[in-house]
Amino acid sequence: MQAGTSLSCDVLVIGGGATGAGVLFDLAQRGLRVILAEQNDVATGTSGRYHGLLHSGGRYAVRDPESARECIEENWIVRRIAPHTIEDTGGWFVAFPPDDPSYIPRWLEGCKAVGIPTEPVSVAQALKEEPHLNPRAYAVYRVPDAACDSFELIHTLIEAAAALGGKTLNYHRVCAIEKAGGKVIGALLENRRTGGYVRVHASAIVNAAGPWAGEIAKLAGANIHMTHDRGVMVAMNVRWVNTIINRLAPPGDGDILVPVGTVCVIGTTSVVVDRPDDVDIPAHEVTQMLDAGEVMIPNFRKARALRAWAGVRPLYDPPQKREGEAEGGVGEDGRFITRSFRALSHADVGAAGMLSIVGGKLTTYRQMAEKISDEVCAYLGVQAPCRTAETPLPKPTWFGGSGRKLHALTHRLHQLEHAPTHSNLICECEIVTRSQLEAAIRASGEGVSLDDLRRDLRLGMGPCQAGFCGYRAAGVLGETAHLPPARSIEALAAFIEERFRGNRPLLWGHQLRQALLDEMIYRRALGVPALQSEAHVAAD
Amino acid sequence: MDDLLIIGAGWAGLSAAAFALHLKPNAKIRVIAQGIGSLIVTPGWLSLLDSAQGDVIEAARDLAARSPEHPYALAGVEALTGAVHLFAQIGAEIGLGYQAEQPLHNKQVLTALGKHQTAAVLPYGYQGATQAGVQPLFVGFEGWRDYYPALSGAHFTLVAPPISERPWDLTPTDYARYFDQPHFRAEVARLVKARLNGATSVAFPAVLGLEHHAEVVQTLQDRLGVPVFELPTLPPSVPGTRLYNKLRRYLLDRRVRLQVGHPVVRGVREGKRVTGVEVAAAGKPQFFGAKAVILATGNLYGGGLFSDDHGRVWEGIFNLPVQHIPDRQAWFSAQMLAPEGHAVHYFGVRANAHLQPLDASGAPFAENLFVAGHILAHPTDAPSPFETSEGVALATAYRAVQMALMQP
Repeated sequence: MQAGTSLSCDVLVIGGGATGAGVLFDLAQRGLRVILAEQNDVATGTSGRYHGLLHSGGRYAVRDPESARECIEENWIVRRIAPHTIEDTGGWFVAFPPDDPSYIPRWLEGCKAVGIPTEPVSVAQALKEEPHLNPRAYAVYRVPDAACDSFELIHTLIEAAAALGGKTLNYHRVCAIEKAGGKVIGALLENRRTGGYVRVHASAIVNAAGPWAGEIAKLAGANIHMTHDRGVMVAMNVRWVNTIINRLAPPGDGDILVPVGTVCVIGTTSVVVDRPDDVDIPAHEVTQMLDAGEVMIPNFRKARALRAWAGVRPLYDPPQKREGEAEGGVGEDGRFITRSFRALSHADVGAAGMLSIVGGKLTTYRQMAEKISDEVCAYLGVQAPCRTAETPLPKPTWFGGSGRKLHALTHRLHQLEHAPTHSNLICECEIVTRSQLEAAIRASGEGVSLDDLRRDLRLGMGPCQAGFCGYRAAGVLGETAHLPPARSIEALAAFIEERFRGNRPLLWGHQLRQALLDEMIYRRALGVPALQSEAHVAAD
Repeated sequence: MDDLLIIGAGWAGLSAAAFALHLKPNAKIRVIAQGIGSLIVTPGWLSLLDSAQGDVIEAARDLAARSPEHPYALAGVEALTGAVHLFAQIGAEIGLGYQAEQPLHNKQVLTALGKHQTAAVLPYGYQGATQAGVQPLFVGFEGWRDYYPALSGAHFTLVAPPISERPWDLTPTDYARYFDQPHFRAEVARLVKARLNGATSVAFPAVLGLEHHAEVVQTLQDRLGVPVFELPTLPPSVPGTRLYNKLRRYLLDRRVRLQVGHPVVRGVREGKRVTGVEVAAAGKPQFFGAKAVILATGNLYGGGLFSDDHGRVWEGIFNLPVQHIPDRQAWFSAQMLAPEGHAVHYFGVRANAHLQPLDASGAPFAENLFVAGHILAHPTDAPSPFETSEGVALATAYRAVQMALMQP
């Protein structure tokens, strides 16, 4: 493997999720030269596959007080430093039959112990504020939950770091960690779009690869005992509530409902899986989510399920801890492992200077970044203190410095209504115009996939799931990027399969009918050929 | 009371009404439908058995012999032949083409992605595709979102549509209405002629006229001097809309009662006979009585069958049992474009050789209820139902009409 290019920096950060982006910004702010390497696009792992909840910590107040405390501390900080990524919906913990009333005093006590403010709400008041709530609810408490857009947060951190010289390489996979004299000296990266190699010389390496942390550690000869815990989430096309609803009961399946933009997201399950990329969605887990939704919101499943996705929680599960487990044990269900985080050094395997950060929640990304950055600085002998808790993050600029928030449907409607565009609507569900699509294609450079454009623009994320806009976007991509027809058609086939992967578990009723319509368009009217290599689909 | 009540106005329902007119000219016929079913997305050609090499009818006969539960076997290949020739006769009368030669062979047509598809009987717009030659010129319209000729082939051009309104966000139907105007098609022909550059044929998206399709194709061919053909577009399908409009006019002119937009909410059965249906109306459902009823409401896509997240599948009007797999995980293959298709395509109502739907015990649900079209189950070893899509609709419509008109 010959490295075509070589780069050098003080610290190489591996993983473009919230933690990696947080470390990139933290270290850049401390004056270090930092490079972040991400194997896909940023925010496509666990951070991009969550339900959109900035935890108050209430979910963990009884069983996992350490994590609960971290959540509430960071909740206040994230609200302060990145308010533009947050919709302050507030949250409730609500007990419904058959939830055990004896859990309530334990929960209140747990919240009090770690400093989570709770305020009782009368059921009558709750039903006034949220008329869709199941009227059989018997106890309601207000907590400081919020909805948080992780894409927005991560892009904000990456832009803020870039302004300080922090560099992000997406679609770069780490294929080797290089060591000399008992310490790490750099890594070899493969550019997955061009197939070329990049050698990065670094004095320290931070492994923030989330569920892939075990694989990355292995490259340095270290062994981290990770548990991959898969959770399924389902987005419904109705914003049933304006407040986040948590079940006031021990953590269980489908106990959180988060309003996000025009939809709401219910989550989640907890199933231990073998691989970090096992994001399959069994049909019965979706039905389980809908059943759980019915408990909180009667007729929940009458709304249309738009999209299901699964994220793999990177839980740190040190073998010695398993002995003293109090309740249950780790089996099918990863709920008994702490959601707290750990920083691990790999000096013992001759990889001094490589540190792994494992476990944790999106809510606590900053604290995780602070802790690992402190250790990196200690190793490098750098004296700079962490200032991320006090530094407000600038709003990102996005395409053409417009400063607009990504993914906001209402904002786009407003723009169109106030300045009728001289441009086609390509994706009618999400109001994506041809000029927006062209700008995004030009900004993304060579090898951009329709799925990359989807994350930038929300292309194909509405009810038709790319049935209509997939072909149009492939046409615009071909014209704008001057692709040969075969490449545009392959991009279309890859996009169709990517959309289908998240849609397939939701195919019944109207959504099934929609999929059959899409299939008739692709298969009969257009004759889209089946994707040749399945590896391509998996990679996207 | 009507002699024949047909529920559904897609391929099967409309054809059934037209066939009934020919088989019993004085019959009182009524069609009640919620919408126009798959006509809105159909390419508009007739797929009878796309994989057939040689004589398509003979291949269908082999299929029926091999697979006794296949709709072709239930309806009989004579019904397929009768239906195709009667449809071709009506297709010529309504000015859309659909000539069926004997023996019938499959033809290759082209799509907007430059891919070949197969069909046995073509309306005018696709006939030129069989003479596309070595260098077809693909023509699109500047700024139009629904067709990108660069994806169709090496020789393509974009012409500015000669219209005064802003061209963006126009639907295929809007373009088809423009082509109905003589000056528009003349101007397009002039623009394209200047760019022919040795082209052996010219392809347009399937928007060549809504009311005057044959004339549009003829004018363009005359002016350009080479074969002209259409490529199917994103919905709404203009070839499907043409067919609906023309058949509707044809039926109304012959005193068929056609009520589209009126959902049937319930079928009424007394003893072994269906007496009629209830239709949603202001105030309370309205009853329509009939001597015989043909259920042509379509499959899970068409709107005749329904499903839920527990894996249940049901028929919406008579609550007929539906042949399906209860495990929802098995409904779809792992990939949308998997060559083997999806198990859901085969779900449907089971019927006997009279096309009477069967109840849970396997007996006819009623003496005078018949099923036609894609509401019928396909045996799991059958070729993809897409391959026989229009063939099954027409053959079962023909057979169901024959049976229904024999009712006392």
